[in-house]
Amino acid sequence: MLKWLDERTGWSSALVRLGQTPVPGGARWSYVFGSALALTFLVQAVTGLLLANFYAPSSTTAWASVAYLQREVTLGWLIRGLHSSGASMMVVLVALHLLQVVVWGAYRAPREVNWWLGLVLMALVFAFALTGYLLPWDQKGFWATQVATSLLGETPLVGDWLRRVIQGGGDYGNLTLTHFYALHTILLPGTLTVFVVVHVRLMRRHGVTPLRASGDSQPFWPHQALRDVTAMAIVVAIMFFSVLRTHGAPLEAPADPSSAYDARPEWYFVPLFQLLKYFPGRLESIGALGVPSLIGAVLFALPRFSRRAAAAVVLTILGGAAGLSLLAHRDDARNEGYRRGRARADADAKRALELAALGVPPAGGTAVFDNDPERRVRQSFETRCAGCHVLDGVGEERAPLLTGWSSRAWLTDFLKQPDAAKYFGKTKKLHGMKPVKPVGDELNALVEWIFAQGGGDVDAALVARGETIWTRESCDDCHSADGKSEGVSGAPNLAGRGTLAWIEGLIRDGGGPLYFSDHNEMPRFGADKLSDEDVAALARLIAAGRTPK
Amino acid sequence: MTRRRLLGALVGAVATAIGVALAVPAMAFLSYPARRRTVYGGGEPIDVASLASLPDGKPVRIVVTAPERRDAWTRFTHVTLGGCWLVRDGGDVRALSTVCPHAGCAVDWDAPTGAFVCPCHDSRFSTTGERLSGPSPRPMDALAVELHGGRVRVAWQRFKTASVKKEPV
Repeated sequence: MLKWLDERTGWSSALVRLGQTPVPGGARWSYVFGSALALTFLVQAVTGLLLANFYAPSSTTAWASVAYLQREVTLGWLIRGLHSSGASMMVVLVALHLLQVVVWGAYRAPREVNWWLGLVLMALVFAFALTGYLLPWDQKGFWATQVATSLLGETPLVGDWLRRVIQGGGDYGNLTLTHFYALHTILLPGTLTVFVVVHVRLMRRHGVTPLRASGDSQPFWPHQALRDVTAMAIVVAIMFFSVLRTHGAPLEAPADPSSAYDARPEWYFVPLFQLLKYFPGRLESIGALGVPSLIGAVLFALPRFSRRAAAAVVLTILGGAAGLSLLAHRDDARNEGYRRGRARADADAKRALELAALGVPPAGGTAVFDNDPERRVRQSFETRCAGCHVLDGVGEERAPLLTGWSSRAWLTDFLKQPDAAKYFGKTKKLHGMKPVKPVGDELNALVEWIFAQGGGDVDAALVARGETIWTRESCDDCHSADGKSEGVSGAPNLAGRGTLAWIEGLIRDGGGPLYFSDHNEMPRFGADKLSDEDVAALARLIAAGRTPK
Repeated sequence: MTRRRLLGALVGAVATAIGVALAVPAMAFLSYPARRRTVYGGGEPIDVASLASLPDGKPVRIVVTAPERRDAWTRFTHVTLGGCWLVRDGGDVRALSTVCPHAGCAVDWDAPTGAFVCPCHDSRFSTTGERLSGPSPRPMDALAVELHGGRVRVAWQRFKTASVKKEPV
């Protein structure tokens, strides 16, 4: 079969010719960077293709689909992690390759065109990185890319037009993702492939450049091939190690345009980020576009530089980038506000991923937080209760305060002034109760007895004393406490007052005979308005106030 | 073995190791949908009609809507699962999927002939779902029905088409 194929394609002779390509000066470890880069690009292509099987580029599905592949899909975290660490690896290898080419003098005549092609390839690698980390539509990608596209908009003459074309309009949305996705998965890979082919073709035309003139050369196979493949294995091993150590690439909380997120770019853009701090206001475009353009121009002109001068230039650029990164790191380490924001963002990311396991609502993105029972019950409170009750500072004061409702402190204050505005003062009919007369220990005992109706840890002796005071003060003229009888003038039956069942019953129908009967002013929240789960959650939220932490 | 062949074998071994290290997780990742359900929920009996609203012996087409359904990462609510024909027979109700067992077209009711007809390939079925004629390999797919407090509940399910055996998808 192979012979048949060989007769028709000549693949084996092509391989033999490739293997016999002479390596001037003999096989060297310094020649492995190009091969390692090629393999990393291949890994990116393969992992990118795999991820594309599960990724959906829209503002409602991007984060949810990435969270799904990260959490649910077998080894999704590993594949995504490899794609992310592969991006970093490409940047590292590009820098090493650039440095090697300069030190070895491979940028000079007759290899100038290949040097320029290499610069284009480097720019493409950064373009890949920039378009890639928006795609998960998480906080980091969203905010960091906002900065990048804003800076792009400052390009003279065509800036605004270019920004709107690339981000698919004036604002970030579905078209931003489809545009970035098309760039990242079609245009950039296609362009990079073409440039890599020409780059390799020219490399083979001119051959590798030995550090020193040496007479001996070796064929590529097997000595250089072994070095290349060993370097590739090391690269892959580092990528696996990095992913296994961190359990994949981080995924932050869904993009939230309303949040105050302190954005930081990926590490390879941090030098540029730091540079902008030194170009405030109108000077910003000099830092954002001028400095990178200047660096690009110097690198373009490098074939006119001597090896020593060229190496000094490249080392200055790389050293400058490293220095700026260190400064950025130092600034963040000293910035307490940033560290607090970072901790908050990490907690949000963790919670969002946990909630995504329940499925993300069709609204996508931040709607995942609707799965949070705490958030859901707060929303129920805001839509159903906050028009009349105040809880934790939210709501209007028309009916009794629910912050700390029926805690000992609440009951004590309430018994002293039941008609205060924060209790029943603003209701229409529920004004019959007078402030109680007992004070001090007697008031505490009465409070303990009422509190005990809702269960929980109580002082039994105090409860017993409270019951005698309850009878002595004729509280039972209006209130019952047997769980059966209707009170007078809407005075609720106090049996079980404060238990979840009692609160749920009150929410469902405050006009029931054991609650406020015909004095009730609270709407009835039947099954058509609140589900059993929502009522139970509201009851838990209100009851939680009885025992403040 | 010559040194050259040994080095060549070493290159092959390292390259194979790289390939395997990448291919194994890639295959595990890609084959996830073959091993796990990615769309689920809504298989439980769903309230579709009141018994009183169904005329005796005359099929009524009903849309079955699930209160909740997971489709990969999205949790949808009020999702249309599909249609079914309800045929009341006194105090009993039969539910037949509208999906033709032949090629999956939507089976319709032909009132003049008193039979179910698939518009694609003319398979015909009786009101009980039995195949009368045409290429369908089996009768119409009956769905589980529950009667509860005068309400009709149907457990909607999709079955493999073009198969003699009635097997859930």
